[in-house]
Amino acid sequence: MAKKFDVGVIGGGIIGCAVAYYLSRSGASVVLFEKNYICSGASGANQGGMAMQVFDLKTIPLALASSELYSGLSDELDYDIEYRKNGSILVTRDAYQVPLLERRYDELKRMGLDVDLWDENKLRRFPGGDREPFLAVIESHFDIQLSPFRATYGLAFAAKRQGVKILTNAPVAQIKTVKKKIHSVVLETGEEFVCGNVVCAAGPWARQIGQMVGLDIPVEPQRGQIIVTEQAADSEYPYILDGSYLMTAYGVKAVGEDEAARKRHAMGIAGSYAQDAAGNWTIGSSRDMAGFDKTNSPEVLKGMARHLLSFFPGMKDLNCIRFFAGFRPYCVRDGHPILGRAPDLSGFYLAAGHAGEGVALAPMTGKLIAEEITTGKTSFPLDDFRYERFESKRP
Amino acid sequence: MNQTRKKEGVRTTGIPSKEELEASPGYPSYEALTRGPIVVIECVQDIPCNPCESICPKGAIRVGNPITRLPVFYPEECDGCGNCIPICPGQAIFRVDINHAEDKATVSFPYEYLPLPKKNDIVQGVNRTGEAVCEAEVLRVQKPRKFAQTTVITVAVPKELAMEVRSIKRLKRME
Amino acid sequence: MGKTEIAVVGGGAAGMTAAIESARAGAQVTIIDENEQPGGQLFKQIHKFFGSGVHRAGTRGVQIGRDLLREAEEAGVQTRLNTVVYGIFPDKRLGLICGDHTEELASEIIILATGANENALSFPGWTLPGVMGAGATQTLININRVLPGRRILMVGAGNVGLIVSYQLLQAGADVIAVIEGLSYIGGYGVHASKIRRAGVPILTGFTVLRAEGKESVERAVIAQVDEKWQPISGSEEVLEVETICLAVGLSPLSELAWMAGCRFSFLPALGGWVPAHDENMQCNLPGIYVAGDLAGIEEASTAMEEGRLAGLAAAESLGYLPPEEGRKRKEELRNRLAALRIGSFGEGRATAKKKLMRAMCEK
Repeated sequence: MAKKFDVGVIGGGIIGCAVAYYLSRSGASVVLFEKNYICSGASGANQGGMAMQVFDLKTIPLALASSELYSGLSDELDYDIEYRKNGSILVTRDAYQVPLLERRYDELKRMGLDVDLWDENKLRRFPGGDREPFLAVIESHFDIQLSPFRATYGLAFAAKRQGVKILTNAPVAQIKTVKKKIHSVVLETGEEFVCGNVVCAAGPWARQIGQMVGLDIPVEPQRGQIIVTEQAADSEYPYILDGSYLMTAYGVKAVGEDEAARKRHAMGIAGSYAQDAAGNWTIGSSRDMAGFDKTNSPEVLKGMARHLLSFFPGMKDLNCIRFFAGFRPYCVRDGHPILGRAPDLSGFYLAAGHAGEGVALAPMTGKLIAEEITTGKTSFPLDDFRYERFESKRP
Repeated sequence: MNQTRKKEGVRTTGIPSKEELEASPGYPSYEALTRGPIVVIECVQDIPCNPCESICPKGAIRVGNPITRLPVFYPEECDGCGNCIPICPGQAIFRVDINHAEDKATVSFPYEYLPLPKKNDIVQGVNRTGEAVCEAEVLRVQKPRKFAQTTVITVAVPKELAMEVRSIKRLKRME
Repeated sequence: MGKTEIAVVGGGAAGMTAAIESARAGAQVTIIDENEQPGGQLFKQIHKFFGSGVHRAGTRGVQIGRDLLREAEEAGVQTRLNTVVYGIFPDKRLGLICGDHTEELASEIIILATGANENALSFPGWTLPGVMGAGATQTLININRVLPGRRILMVGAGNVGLIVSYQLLQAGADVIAVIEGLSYIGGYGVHASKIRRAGVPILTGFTVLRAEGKESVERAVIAQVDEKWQPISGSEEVLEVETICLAVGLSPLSELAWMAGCRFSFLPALGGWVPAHDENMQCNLPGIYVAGDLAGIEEASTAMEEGRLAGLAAAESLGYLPPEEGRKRKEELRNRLAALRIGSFGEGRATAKKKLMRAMCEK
């Protein structure tokens, strides 16, 4: 006997839980299918940081709106998500990256964002001591950090309290459509759920879900590796990225890389260092396309460690307590998220391809998808992110 | 300390009850004791273990197969050599000479504390709960190499306490 | 990158016997251990072991440790000491940290013998200096010859709690009480009897409510618990102690097995999540074996037999043993293991081990 819901959300990471939460506030009946356990994918394998100052300019407004929602979320969910607005700094030791950062600073300033380009004095002050100062630093005051676990669980618990049915260990096997309209979702166990609407929030498995409805969702797993350290004294700057991040994550080109940098960039390594609320540092970042191979590689781990120490040799004696890998859901067409209703298929919505910005965009993704499903309209334009952008322009 | 116990027995108190001891095939009857110094095996649980069988030169202790079987003691074969006392990993074997003197019996027991008492010392004999129940005169302190650092001490105690005294109160360390 | 035929991770009871067996068969074997010398928990086990002659009953663990060290050396086992295996990577590459640098070690076979970790018990005041694991206490008194305190409360009456209490008495401390949450003593009765005759009370159906003290433990408050493990109001007692030892079970140190992708099974009787293995101690990944407490919390005697079995099977798989001899000797080791897993203390583990081996065939 099939059960009936207004919306079926596929995926129990931060995106799926955000969608379910915001939908539950509208009164829709929602069921969420998670094939493993809540927060078991990329949502549980990241640094919990939103360094919006490095995002693509098109994405920043959406991220800022999300950040605004995050600022009140702990109270709203009655669950502490460890929200901290400590900003971030983008640094470089390499002369060839200085023009990159200066250009970036201009772009951010033109958008009216709260950023500083450090002058001589500030550059001398941090890291200070007998360390060579950075050549350029952009300090963003609007960047935030939070606990991605607590944010995901908080959204899930609140959704549950508001009536969402959450099923874990519930992989989806089939999505039935009738006359180009979503009809139902069938799990691997055979259980069927009749839903007029389905949201694909399946992370790097979005492509598989798309295949169930004949939609080519161009998302693939982009592996990232992270080292976690023991707790350390609170840093004045708990969120630090290096200029290479613009290159490895956003494809920004630069001339003048040396051999060492070329090797690092080939492994997708760029500095991303975030200290969480308890004092542990997560040391990243790396990017490579390795399918669903979740193993760590010593070369990348060592590469990231060495790169960290080239910036902060004082961290040499910090103990690593674990490392892990995860898959960012990467849109291989243009690296941007795919949001909103799918064309030609009534009731199918995409909340996919968030790459390294899932945590950053989760609240707005949830809110806007919920709006689109329940009212047909969104309070924020999604034009840049809709699936239609992949379709060739027909004359 | 309040210790009202509802159930008796080694599993709840750490001390085998009278019933458990008497039911064990390693525990000799009083009658057997009267015929000369023999060992008393207070082994009541099915632990896989049999060095007592291996060491006894007279075959007076049989465990057999499987080695969880309780050791069966044949008092008529036992000559009281006491080789089994130090080898039992559970320190559950003792030797009693009920006829040592008119009013005294001797008890030999394994001991792994320092300092060791000396021959002729008067020490406190304790029962299975560690309670001092009598004065005990140290008759012998044996620590040959083959005992592998388990000393066997023999003390003289009042005859009626021969099946009660199982050790002595630990001596104070010299600071 | 270094190379070896058989890499044994962990040089404790299981690791050493595995290395000795496979080295004697002719394989090139390297033990990697994070400590200064191999031996694992053996050198802390200053009491005499149980079992039968072939299990070295009546011999102290520390002596067995010395004998194994000598045998390993004689068999030509290589050792990498003060070396941490931080990761196990595809193609059986091990990531090592030695001093201030990292290395990789390629191997054909990996035997994981990483042992177990003590469980913790949290209660108000548990972070005060003076609260420690019973295993850590055992290391402190038997290896480092330092007393953690003079007046001790032992929490847990399994074999570890009872044995360490005895060893604390031997070291000159006073064990004020052993408490146990269950209504019965889980460890061997003979271990309990030893400390009872030394005047140590064993209180079953009790738990520790909190530790009190300004800069370190000065008092422990204990209370009786009901069948639901809830403290019974009015039954509180205050014990003046400086040290609270926690002997509340062990869990396999299984990070490397997880990392390698071993299949696991949850078996409380063996300590929780345990990597599944077949009758040769090989896990679901060809060429990776497990032995000792990692493969289920048992004892030193079973660890040594499992180590031998894994070492033998590993050497056989590399062609160092004629199949008939291998079959016979493995069968003998399995029989010796079975002899240790009988009786009321062993049959629970025997059942759990059978389930663990069945899990190899599932899914």
